[in-house]
Parts: sequence; structure tokens; C-alpha cells
Amino acid sequence: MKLEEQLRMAKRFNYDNITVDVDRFEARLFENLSENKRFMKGRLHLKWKIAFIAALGIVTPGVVFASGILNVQNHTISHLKSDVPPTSFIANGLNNQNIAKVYNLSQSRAVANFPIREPASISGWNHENSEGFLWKRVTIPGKTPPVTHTSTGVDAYFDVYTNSSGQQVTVEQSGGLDAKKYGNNEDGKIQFGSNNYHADFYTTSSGGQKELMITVKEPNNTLTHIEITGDVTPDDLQVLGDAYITASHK
Amino acid sequence: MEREERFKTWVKLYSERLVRIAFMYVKDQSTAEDRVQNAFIKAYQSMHKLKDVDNPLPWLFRIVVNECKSYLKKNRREVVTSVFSEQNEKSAEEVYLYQLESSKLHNAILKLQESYKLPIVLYYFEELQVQEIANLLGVSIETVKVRLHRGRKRLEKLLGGEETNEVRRAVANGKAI
Repeated sequence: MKLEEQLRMAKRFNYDNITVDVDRFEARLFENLSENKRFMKGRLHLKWKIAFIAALGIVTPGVVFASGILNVQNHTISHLKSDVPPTSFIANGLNNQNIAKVYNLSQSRAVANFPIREPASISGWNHENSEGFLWKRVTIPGKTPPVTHTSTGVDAYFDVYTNSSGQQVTVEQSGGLDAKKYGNNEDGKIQFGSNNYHADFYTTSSGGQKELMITVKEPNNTLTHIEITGDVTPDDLQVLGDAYITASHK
Repeated sequence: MEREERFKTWVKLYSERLVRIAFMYVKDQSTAEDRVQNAFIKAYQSMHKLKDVDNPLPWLFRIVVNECKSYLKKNRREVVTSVFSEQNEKSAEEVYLYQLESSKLHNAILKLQESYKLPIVLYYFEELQVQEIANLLGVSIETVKVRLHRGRKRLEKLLGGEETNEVRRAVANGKAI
């Protein structure tokens, strides 16, 4: 048999026989991706910070914040993650294949390893929804023996707000990282001031979605991230940020 | 199309093809799927860098190949010399013989060195054009043609009577030729 013919046969009988259960593959991928995103959050902050320092020459700090509690640093980045569409994410709740458990505020506070802040009210904003999520850990196929990740607690607590114009903002709280590893400004770590928080505002040059990311160093030396995201003005984000910084928490 | 939606479409459309390519490197289905999982995560994180979002396959191929290469660097000790059984179930004699031959050939392709293996796989199995392969590999069309030619010659040596001592030694040691 000629080689060309053999190659066609090899494609038919061997190469094309390598099949993948795409649904299972996809489910596992999005599970991995979701875990990867959570894992990256602590680092992402530092990465962006480094990128910001490197790009100082081209950054346009054209955003002027209303005077508030937070001292916000402005960053223009090439893109802003938009991986958590706020409302649909919350609305999907347990229907989302990546979510194992949903908790209300008191349940979340009981099991979370970070303090959850919840302002009583925020001027100009209506509190729409609020839930704590534990991401699902799945059995990893193909591993012998099968590895089943299990976890308890809350990975992230979400609040959704709308204003009178119908604009929506999501607030995501997560944390529990060791503050010593990520603060205090050695080797690119976060610089905390005497008030023990650091706030960064991210937007893209094309506008749209914006994010105010607040990192709080808690008294027990852990970090809490408060990420406030929406297609609103920087001042709107700062109003929400100030409210969260001063809110009661467990 | 939203970023997430676009990504999901890529996963549905290309997972299987990417796993096949990965398989040609790592020679194990489960490991191939793991590599493609990692490659997709990297792709997701750098989607904004892709200029031609309507034609992501070459870009995804490159990410998968790089992922496999770096995996193999870290796991040099694992050498799999044959991954397809040559005792496939007989249906008809002809089919059996075809399967036997194609398994030998497929295993021979796995033993080719990378510069020949990838063009052969992309051209004969993925059915890409020479121009597309050249773009994907970042080489000229002529280079692709030369690699295809040499790859075929090496396969013939691996499979046929022209087998040299060098080839026999390489096969016996599970080395690429």
C-alpha cells in the first residue's frame, strides 16, 4: 500500500478515532477556569499594579473622583475582565453549573473565612440581591483514583445594586489570603496605608465596564477583596466603595 | 459576540481536534485532554491578544503545541513507544489489515521528530493547506513542503524495507528520528 493511502487509513482508523466527550470536557474546563479565576485574583491585582507602574508613561489618569473616604489610584488597562456578568450570574444561582451552594448573608457570615461587609443603605442605589456562593468542585475524570475536591465555606459574596437610571453594579467580596504574602509593598506587594486598605480603579481606554478594587488588610492579617464593577461613572463606584469600607461586618 | 460566548463556541468546535493534536505529542488521551484544558485556560486569559477572532484555530493549535512541549520538557522520563493496539478487533479481513497497517503508521508518526510530525499531522490528518501550515508554524511554504517530503521519507524508512540501522536503533529506544 502506498504511503498516501496508508496515511488516509491512519486518519480514518486511528486519528479520527480519538474522540472527546465534549460536554464533559467543557464542564470540566469551566470548572477549572472558575477555580483559576479565583486563584488568579490575588495575583491579578499585583499583575495589574506592575503593569500600571510599567505603563505610567502612557496611562491617562483622566478620571477625577469625588472627594470620599477612599484614596483611589487610577489605572487604564488594555482590557477589563468581564467574566462575571452580574445579574445573570446571581439570577442563575444554583442553575449555574459551577456553583455548589448558595447562602444568604447570615449563613455566609457563619461559614466565610473573610468578613462580609453589608452597608445598611447606599444613597442613590437600590439593593437588588445578595448571595454567597461556594464554587463546585468536581471529580476529575481520568485520575486514578478519582479525585473529588470538596470544600466548605463561602468563596465569594455578591451584592447587586441598581440606580434610578437602571444601571447595575455588582459588588463581590472574597478573601482569606495571608496579608504578609501580599502586603506591604516589598517586591511589588500591595502598599497599605495607615488605614489598612488599598483602592485601585480600572477602566479601559474604550470605556464601558469599570472596576473599583479595594483590598483591605484585616486586623487578623488576612486580606479581603471588594470588587465593585459596572458600566457607571467612577464617582458612582467610589460612593459604593466608601459605603463598603465603612459598613458593619462580622 | 460576547467574549464568554465566543470562548464557549471555540470549546465546542475545536476541543476534539485540539485533543488529537495534543495526543500526537503526549501519546495518552487523558494527558492530552489535560494539556488542552490548560491551553484553553491560557487562551481565555489572552483572548484579547487575538487579532483574527473569526479564525482562532491556528492560534489555538500554537497554544496547544507549546503547552505540550513544555509538558514534555518537564516529563522527559515518560516514553511511550506504542499507543495503538495492533490487535484490533477483526470485522473483515481487509479492514483488519487496514487497521493493522494504519496502527503501525500512526505509531510511526508518533516517533517522528517534531519538525516533521506536526506538518504531517496538520496536512494529512487535519487537512490544512500548505499555506495555512506555514502561517501556523511561522515558516515559509517551501519549508513546509521540505518538511512534508522529509517526513514522508522518514515514515517510509520506519515502515518499510529501507529501514536502516539508525532507524532500527531509534525505534528500539523509542527515540524520535
